Formats: sequence, structure tokens, C-alpha cells
Amino acid sequence: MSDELILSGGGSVAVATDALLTALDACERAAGEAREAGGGLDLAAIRLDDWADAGAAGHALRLAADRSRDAASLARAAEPPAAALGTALRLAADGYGLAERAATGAAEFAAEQLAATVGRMLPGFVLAAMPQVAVVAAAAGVAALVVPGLAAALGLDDELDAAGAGVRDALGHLVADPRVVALIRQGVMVADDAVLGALGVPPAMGPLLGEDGAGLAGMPLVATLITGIAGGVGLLRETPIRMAESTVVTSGEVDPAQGWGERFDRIPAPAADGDGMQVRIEQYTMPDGAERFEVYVSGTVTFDPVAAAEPWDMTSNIENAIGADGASVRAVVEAMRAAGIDESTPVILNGYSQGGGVVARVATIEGFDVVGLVAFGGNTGQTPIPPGVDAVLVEHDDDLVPALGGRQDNEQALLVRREAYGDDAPPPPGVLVPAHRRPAYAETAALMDAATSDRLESTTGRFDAFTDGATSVTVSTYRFERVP
Amino acid sequence: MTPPASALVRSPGDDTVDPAAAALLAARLARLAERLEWAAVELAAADPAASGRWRGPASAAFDAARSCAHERLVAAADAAGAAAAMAARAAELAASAA
Repeated sequence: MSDELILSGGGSVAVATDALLTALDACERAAGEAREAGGGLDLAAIRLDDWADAGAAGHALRLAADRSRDAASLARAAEPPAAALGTALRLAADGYGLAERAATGAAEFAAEQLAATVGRMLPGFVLAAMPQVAVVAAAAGVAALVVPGLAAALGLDDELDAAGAGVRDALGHLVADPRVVALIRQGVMVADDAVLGALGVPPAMGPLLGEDGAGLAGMPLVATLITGIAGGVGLLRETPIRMAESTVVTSGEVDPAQGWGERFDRIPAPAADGDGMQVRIEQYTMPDGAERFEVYVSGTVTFDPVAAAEPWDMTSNIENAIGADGASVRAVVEAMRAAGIDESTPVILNGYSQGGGVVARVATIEGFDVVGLVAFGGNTGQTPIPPGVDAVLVEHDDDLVPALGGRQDNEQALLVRREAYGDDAPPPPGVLVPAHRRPAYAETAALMDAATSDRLESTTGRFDAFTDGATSVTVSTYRFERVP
Repeated sequence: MTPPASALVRSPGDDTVDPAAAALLAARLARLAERLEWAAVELAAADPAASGRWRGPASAAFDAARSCAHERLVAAADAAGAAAAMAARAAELAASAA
């Protein structure tokens, strides 16, 4: 498991580890101190010289002036190497960022052209392959029905289970590979080009219509297509929602989240918490009577593609990707209004997984004063978070879920990346997307708390200071249901 | 903080030094020495390869340049500390002579 945090965004082209940025800060501070001290020591030497003619203390003053001049000269000599180190590190960080951007752009362009060409060939290919696909599907169906019974009859249940576990492990390893995850992210971005190609749009036109052009295609086009097809067979159908349960507790004891670990811990986990609450809202009363809010939003509760009672499901995931407000987005907006949040009350939104994507979408909705946003493992890439929002997006390079949100285009946000697993620490067996689990993100949050670069420390300071001086807190929790 | 100019310039015909102004300047020198020392400590701890991604020749070149800057900062801090001690001694002498 890697402890290395990679920071980027925040309006800078630099991409660098927290360690490199910490070293950069130290070099720039050292150069600044040396420059400032050189000037101050020179001035002191002039003053000491001026006094040195005076009576009893003259000799001591002259010596002090000499030492001060020596110190000034040494300090000035220290500035160039320290400044050069700072410049070298800044160039390394900026160069890495620019190279990564250029490589990603080139790969994406090639992938778009390829996808569009494949898309054009797809209809003919599907027609030609139809008989073979039907035979394979029929064989798979028969096998699924017959094999378990046959294995039971032959006493091979354990072997069948072991084979299933083996397949799950292999799949788990595959989708936990950062290269595969990057490929999937790329695939998400070019899926619309394949669709346009299948519709007969020439490859050169794809980029002009997509997310980098007129914005007529992109992820929403693909997601709309998925919901359209799935809706035909009763899947991914959106429904209204209703607030099923809420609790409110007011306390004089103010205990706001300090640091990223505490912030992450407060995000509801409906199944693990046992109460099913998907939203937690903390209302802080400030000394001048003004109100401030922190909102915490849960991740996906069920992956069932059939919309049943739970709004934090696959239907919401897909609807939110379209840019339409899925059930979970509507639920959070309703909870916020019920808690008294409006355009005059500053609020920070926090979410994990689907909750990360939800808070990004809520930040785009008018009627709220969203000042900060924290998303752990959310598919936020193609949701345009308003530039005025102080956003921190935390993603694992080996986590499939943020990759499903496509390329991360929120360049003003501070993007914190990490590889949750690696060669030295393989993912746990039997878990399909291990790097997306809460413990993995809790560990990243703890590493963010221990980070030492000015970039991350100053961001932590801003978020922690949001509720400074609050005199009371009211905590409310909410559970929503779909209305069939 | 820099002492006001009026406290640092002797009046014409005045051959004494204001002990308070000298003490103030000694304190300022001591603070500069401290800041230089802290910058040296911070620079010594700076390790862009701490997490293992940046190794090899670039890392060796960084170490060499850092070592050079660090030595100069330490020497500057020592000299500034000595200047502060001497200025403090001068302030004491001026006070006893007053």
C-alpha cells in the first residue's frame, strides 16, 4: 500500500507528491529567509558602526558590526543555491504536470478517433455476429442452470466455489490495476465517440460535438442511451422520493470535524451504521448569530439496477451521470432545505462514493451558498464544480469508481491522488473493487492529515476554520425512500 | 521588529549609546539568527524523494546543492548569533556606563 499522496489542480499545472511540495516549500522559505536576513543584518551593521565611536561599548559594538556583516554575506551566499533548488523542484512539478497533460490529451485524441471508427463499423459487426452471440448466450444460460446441479450431484460444490472465488480474485486484481483503471477512464471519455460513429457521424466531427467541443455529446449522451435501453426492460427507472425518517439533536458541546480523517468518519454508512440514514447535517451557530452548515452524504447503498425503495442505488448513479438530478441529489437538496440551508447560509458539502458525485452536483444547483466541497472516491470528473467553491477531490488511481466519472476536468479543485494498493501490498482477496472501500479512503484521509506541504496544510486550515468560534451545534440525520 | 530610527541615531555631541536601543537591536539580531537556523533545519529535512518516486542522478544533484545552501545558512546563523551576543554585551556596557 503506498503512502504517497500526489497533489495537483488548485489552479496550477504542477503535479507532485506531497513530499516534493514540502521540499519545495522548504527551499523557497530558506531562500526568502536568507534574502531577508542579509538585508536586516547589513542594516544592523550600519547602525552598530554608527554607535561604535561611543565610549565604553565601542569595542563590543564594532565586533558586533563585523559579525553582523559576516552573517549578512553568508546569508546572501545561501540564497542562490536555495532559490535554485526551489526553482528546480517547481520546474519538475510543472514539467510533470504538463507532460502528463500532453500525454493524456494525445492518447485521448487517438482513442476518440479509434472509437469513432469502431462505432461506424459496429452496426455491421453486430448483425454479422448475431447468430454466434445467440449461441454463446444460450450455452452460457444452459451452463448456469446445469453446472451447479451437476456439481452438487458429483460432490464438487467446494471446487465450484473455489473456481468462483478464483475468478472473483482475478477480476478484483484486474480492476485494481491503475493502468486498467486509466484505460476505463479513457473508455468512458470516448464512449460517446463510438456512439456518434455508430450513428454515422464522421470521426473528425466527434471531438467537435463532445465534451471538449459543443458539449452536445460526452458522458450524458452515453448515460442517456443506457437509461433508455435499460428503461425498456424495467431497469434504471427514476421515481419520486420522500423523507421517511429524520432525527434532530441540539448540543451546547461544539465538536466540529478537524482534519480530513474526522471529516470522512462523519459521512454516513447506512448499512454499517445500522440506521439507514443517508444524510447528516450539522448546523453551527456562530457568535454573531449567523448559521453555518456541514453536510455529509453517504455512498451507494445498493447496486441493484431495479429502482426499489433505496434512492442511493444504480439508477441514481446513472441519472447523476446524465446531469439530470437523480433521487439521491433530490434527497440531499430536500434535506438541506429542511435543515434551513439557503443562499444566505455558508455550507461545506462532504461525500463519499455516490455521495461525492452527489455533492458535486448539488454545488451546481442555485439557491445555496456552497463555500467548500470534499469528495472521496466520487465520480466528479465531468460535473463542472463552480470555480468559487473551495473543492478537494480525493481519488485512488486504482479505484474504478472515480474513473467512471471520466477525465477530471475540475482544474481549480485540489486533486489528491493515491494508489491504495501496490505490488508490495496486494488488494485483499475476494473484494471486487478494494481501492474503493471505506477503509482505503479512511487511510488516505489520515495521510492527508499527516501531510506537510503548504498546499495541503493551508487547505486543511481553511476547512477546519469554517466553524471556528461556533457556540452551539444541531445535528440532524435523514433517511429517504423512493416512491414507486 | 526594527527599532525606530530616532532610537538608533545619537544626537550631535552625544557620545553615549542608548542601552535600550542597543538591547533592541541585539534582540533583532538574535531573531534573525533563529530564523536562519530554522531555515537551515527545514532545508536539511527537505527530501523530495521521501516517498520513493524521485531517485537517481537528480536526487544526488539535489543533495549536493542542498548541502551547500545548508552549510551557508548554518554559518550565517552562527555569525548572526555571535553579532547578537556582542550587541547584547554592548547594551550591558552602555547601561553600566550610563
